[in-house]
Amino acid sequence: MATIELDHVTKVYPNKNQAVSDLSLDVADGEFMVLVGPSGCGKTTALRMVAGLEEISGGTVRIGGRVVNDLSPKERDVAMVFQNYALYPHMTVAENIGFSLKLRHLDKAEINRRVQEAAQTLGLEGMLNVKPASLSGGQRQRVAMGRALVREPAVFLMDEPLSNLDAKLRVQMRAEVSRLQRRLGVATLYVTHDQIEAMTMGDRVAVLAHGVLQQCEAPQTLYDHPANLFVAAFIGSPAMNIYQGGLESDDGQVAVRLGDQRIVVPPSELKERPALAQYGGRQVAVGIRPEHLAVGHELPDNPSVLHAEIDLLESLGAEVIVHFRIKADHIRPEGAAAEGEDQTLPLAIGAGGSDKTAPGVARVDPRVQLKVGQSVTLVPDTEHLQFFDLETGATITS
Amino acid sequence: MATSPARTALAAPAPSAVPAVHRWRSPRGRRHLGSQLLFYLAVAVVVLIALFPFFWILRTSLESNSEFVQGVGGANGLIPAHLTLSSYIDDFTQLHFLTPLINSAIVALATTVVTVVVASLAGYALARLPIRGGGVILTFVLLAGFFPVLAMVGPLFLLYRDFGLLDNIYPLILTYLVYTLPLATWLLRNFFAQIPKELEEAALVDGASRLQTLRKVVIPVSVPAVFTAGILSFILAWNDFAFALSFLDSPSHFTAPLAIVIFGQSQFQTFYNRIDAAVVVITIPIAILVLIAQRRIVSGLTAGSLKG
Repeated sequence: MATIELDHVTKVYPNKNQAVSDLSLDVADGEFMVLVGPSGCGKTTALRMVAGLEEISGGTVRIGGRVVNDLSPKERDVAMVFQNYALYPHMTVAENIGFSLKLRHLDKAEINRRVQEAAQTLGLEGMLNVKPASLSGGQRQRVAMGRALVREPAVFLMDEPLSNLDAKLRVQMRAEVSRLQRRLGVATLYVTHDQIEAMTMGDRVAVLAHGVLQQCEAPQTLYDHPANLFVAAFIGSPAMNIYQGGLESDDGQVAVRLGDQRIVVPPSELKERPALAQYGGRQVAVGIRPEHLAVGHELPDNPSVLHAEIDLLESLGAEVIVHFRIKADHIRPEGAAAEGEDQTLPLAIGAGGSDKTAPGVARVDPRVQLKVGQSVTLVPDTEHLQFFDLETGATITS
Repeated sequence: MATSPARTALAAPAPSAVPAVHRWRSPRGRRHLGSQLLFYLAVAVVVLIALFPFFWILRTSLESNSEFVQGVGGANGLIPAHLTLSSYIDDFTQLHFLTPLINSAIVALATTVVTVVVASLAGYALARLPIRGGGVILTFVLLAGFFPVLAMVGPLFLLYRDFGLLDNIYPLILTYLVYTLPLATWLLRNFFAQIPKELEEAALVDGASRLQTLRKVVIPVSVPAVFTAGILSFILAWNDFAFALSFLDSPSHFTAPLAIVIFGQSQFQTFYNRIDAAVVVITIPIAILVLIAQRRIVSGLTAGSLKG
């Protein structure tokens, strides 16, 4: 039981490649912290620095208050689950799980007891005398977990432990790992590139890009109040629609112009984002999540609508994902191109016409009758508009 | 299945049978059969050529002295009428073949053990530790392994003479290491380099030291390569003639290959049956070793070329 503190941690490789820049992050005792970001963002490097598998170029890493910068992995009392499980192929499941205990010269009976206990927790009782080669992916994953939890370590480190599993098993193991972590109450640093995994598992989620921490918040806060364009585009599936628009202010009313469409920004938004007033007459990035777009009609008291043409329909049963195009300037921040199979990205079909159109996605009730090629009116829930500075990418707030 | 045969035939006009017959009758099929025959013939010829000398050694070793004298050059036929173990018995009783066998065993086993231990450590270091100029070191190591044997004999002889190490089997171990270590180091390094790094990292996080990681994870996972390195070292040391001939003097210090040479010599005649009996004897350990480890050797030798 311990905390993990990263204090201005930096990693520079000998080839001058800066993998992690000035990363400060505190994982509270018992907390499940997810480090998420696209591949190459430095999240695994950060994890490996905590584990002691990577030298720390600058800053301090503390585990349980103790500075561990110069300690070997052995002395840090951390347990790690690797992406490819890294099970010892020449040992049985029981030997794999008990290896760390054997290294610590625990007596045989005690090792046996703890291995049995871990096996029971993970449902591996029947397989203790089998070699990893004859196990399925899910079982191997469990053995890897067992190897970590049998140690009763100060902290858990997990490096994309579910990414080698098939989609269904991944969903199942996601819940299982979360439940296990909550029960054990051990501070956990969990690395993934999958934002769904991050959202569903983490107490808090730290979004990393290019080795720089973008935002670290609870999943819902991250989703509702992204700190910048990267986080806005990265978190959420399907991703947030982001367009470039001009901000107009007209006798107290602020509106954003997207092509020939004009969306009035409600007073509540203005109140929440007072800085928006300074952007009058300037271009900003406007974001709206797919669930905040409804198919409807233009009403006299609400002229703020978007005129869209349906590109593609994806029926998911409970909802329909509508891919559409509207007249606007599309912005595609780098976070939007995040990998991950579960992500439905806006498809850029038929892009590049003479009229500037931009793709977008809406989540719609399946009872609404829609056809590909149909022109529809989309009513945005303007209370949930997001605004970002075009230059810095930061959210426009106060 | 209750469907009538006629209906099945109509539904599916035997798609598998037709092309099969067709293929069998085509000239291409016949050529295929012919080339296969040719292939097996070629294999048979190669096997015969390779194994005939061994057969002849075995055959000659089973002749008695008198028969051998009568039937020089194989006059007794492909398989002589009277087979006897007398030359084997002579080798061990009159010629004391056990002493050189033991000498050879000491030298070969010691060489093998030292090679495997040192090459494992060196190979691991070269594969994993951040060593400046590791590639250059590896190249030099490999070069040393291919240094001509006879070019080494002269300088080493002078060196051993000055140190008073001649006519002693133990310096031979040192000499063989010059050849076994580079090869084994290179072989093991390449195998180690292919082991997933995470495996070792898992061990390190589990609380193992670097040496424990090597001993408990890397080496057990590398059994094929370790076996290959060990057997190659053993064979090199066990079969050496040039160094033993150059550095050993008294028959009680001879290794087996050296001892064999003097076995056949009598005043008027060379008793090849005795030589061949001894050859059969020294071949046995190698044959057993290779048979036991056959599967492992094969996977070890191919491990370097294919990513496991």
